[in-house]
Amino acid sequence: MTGRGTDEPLLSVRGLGVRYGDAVTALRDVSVDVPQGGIVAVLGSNGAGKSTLLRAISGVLTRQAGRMTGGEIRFAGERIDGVGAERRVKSGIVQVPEGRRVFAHLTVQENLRAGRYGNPKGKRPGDLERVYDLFPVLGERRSQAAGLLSGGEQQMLAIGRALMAEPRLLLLDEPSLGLAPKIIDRIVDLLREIHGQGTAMLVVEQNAAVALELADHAYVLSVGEVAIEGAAERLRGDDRVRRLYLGGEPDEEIAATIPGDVRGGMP
Amino acid sequence: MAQLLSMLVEGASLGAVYALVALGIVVIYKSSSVVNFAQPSLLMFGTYVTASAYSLHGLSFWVALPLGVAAAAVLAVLVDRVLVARFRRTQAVVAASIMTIGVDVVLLTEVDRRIGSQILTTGDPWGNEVVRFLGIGVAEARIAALVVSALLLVLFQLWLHRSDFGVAMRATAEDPETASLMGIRLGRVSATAWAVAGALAVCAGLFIVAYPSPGLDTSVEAVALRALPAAIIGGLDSTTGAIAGGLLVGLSEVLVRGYGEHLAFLGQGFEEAAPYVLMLVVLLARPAGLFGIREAVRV
Repeated sequence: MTGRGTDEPLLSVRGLGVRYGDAVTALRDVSVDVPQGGIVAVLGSNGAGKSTLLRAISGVLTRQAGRMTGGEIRFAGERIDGVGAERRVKSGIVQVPEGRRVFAHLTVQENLRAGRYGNPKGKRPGDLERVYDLFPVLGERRSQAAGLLSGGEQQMLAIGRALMAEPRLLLLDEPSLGLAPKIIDRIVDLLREIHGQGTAMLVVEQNAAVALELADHAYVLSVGEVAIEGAAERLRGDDRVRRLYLGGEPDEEIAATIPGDVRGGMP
Repeated sequence: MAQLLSMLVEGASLGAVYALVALGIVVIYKSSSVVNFAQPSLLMFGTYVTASAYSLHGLSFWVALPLGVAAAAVLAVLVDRVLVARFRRTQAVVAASIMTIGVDVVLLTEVDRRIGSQILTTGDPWGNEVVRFLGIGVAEARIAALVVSALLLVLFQLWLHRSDFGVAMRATAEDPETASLMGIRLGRVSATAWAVAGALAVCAGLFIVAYPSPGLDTSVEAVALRALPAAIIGGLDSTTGAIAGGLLVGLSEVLVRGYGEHLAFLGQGFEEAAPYVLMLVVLLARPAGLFGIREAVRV
């Protein structure tokens, strides 16, 4: 990490190891940086450890009997790997979880109110309206149960809910999962707009085309280790990345081309 | 006809009281997926504090009442923080639920020892007046139980559905991990649920020991335990269900007792088994309870 200047990264993950239970190693010696105001992508197939990385950063490993076995996580210079999930949210790291995970029985507005819990400044006038301005469809459906929204609308709600906490770093776990290409384009545009307002992002994706379009810098995880790292532009042209993640082959075939991946990792 | 009407009023009154206790079980289940079998002992403990403050230490009811409510709430939070919280990290909710049976037994033993053979009164303001209307007579305390319980139930529902904390609690009920990703403190949600459950149990306990019951003795815990079938009948994860379940249990108990002579083939004292029979019938038809979303199997 020499020669990068004196700018300290907003998020710095160093030598992270994670294990589930006693035996399953999910991450080994993973180091990832997110600069201030940057967008960083983490690519990799199913089971490569992408979600585990985000869970470790958010501090929710223990619910699945996972734990850090080594390394450290720093946010804005402060070490955060020892503090609880809610303190990390308050300090400005908010996750949009995989599969959207909106609170289906709560209304759209109640989902946003739940998101406000992580805002270090608490409740403020007009905070709901800011999200409704960004996602007008949510404003129209504010009193509908979130479970009745379409997939794309639920993804917008999940992002809007995270924005209620006014994060400095947004962690996005597969934001394109299960969405139609047209909707994915909308989500990418919205993420650009949010990024333009000064929010840094760490995006985990299987859809490498989407991720590399959005990000400035990217990492490729394979069986819990960083296999490739570089500028997004360079990775777009990288042969291995193109063959494995941009070729449009079905997942199983891709996995079979990397000997390590068939050994299987953890979600 | 008059007999039926008077039984319906009695049943609704008793049912509303059961609903308060059942609501405590539901709110804890929703906030942490733990079934709190210690709810009867919290009721006994808080009611004992109130009754002994009045009967043994000469305090007025209006001082003794908040004392008992606060004592049960504090004890409930301690149980949550010291014992249940240990299981939260690993989601061992079955172990935590079974542990609450242990808490219940230990606490009841101690309260029973202190009560001994006494019958303690709480000095509640309803006395032993009987109100007559429509040709029936109902104890004033039963009317008060119905009105106050209904009021508490409405207030609770408003709180759960309108307040920010209610949103946090319902979000946690639906998806605890995502709730914690939103910055909601699961420990605080759970502790609040336990405090509310303890407070509600004592409010219910005061009515259970009011006239025409002679007062607080060790038999009250069996009455309090009927809140458990009430919660399960309504659906462990539904506050509306707790109210419906409470009413059903109260009505079935009073009706079975009232028509006892026609039900002689069931043997004496069947009213005490009636809530559990009702629970079995409901569960066979609807495993998640009348208003439940999640089947109790997931516990």
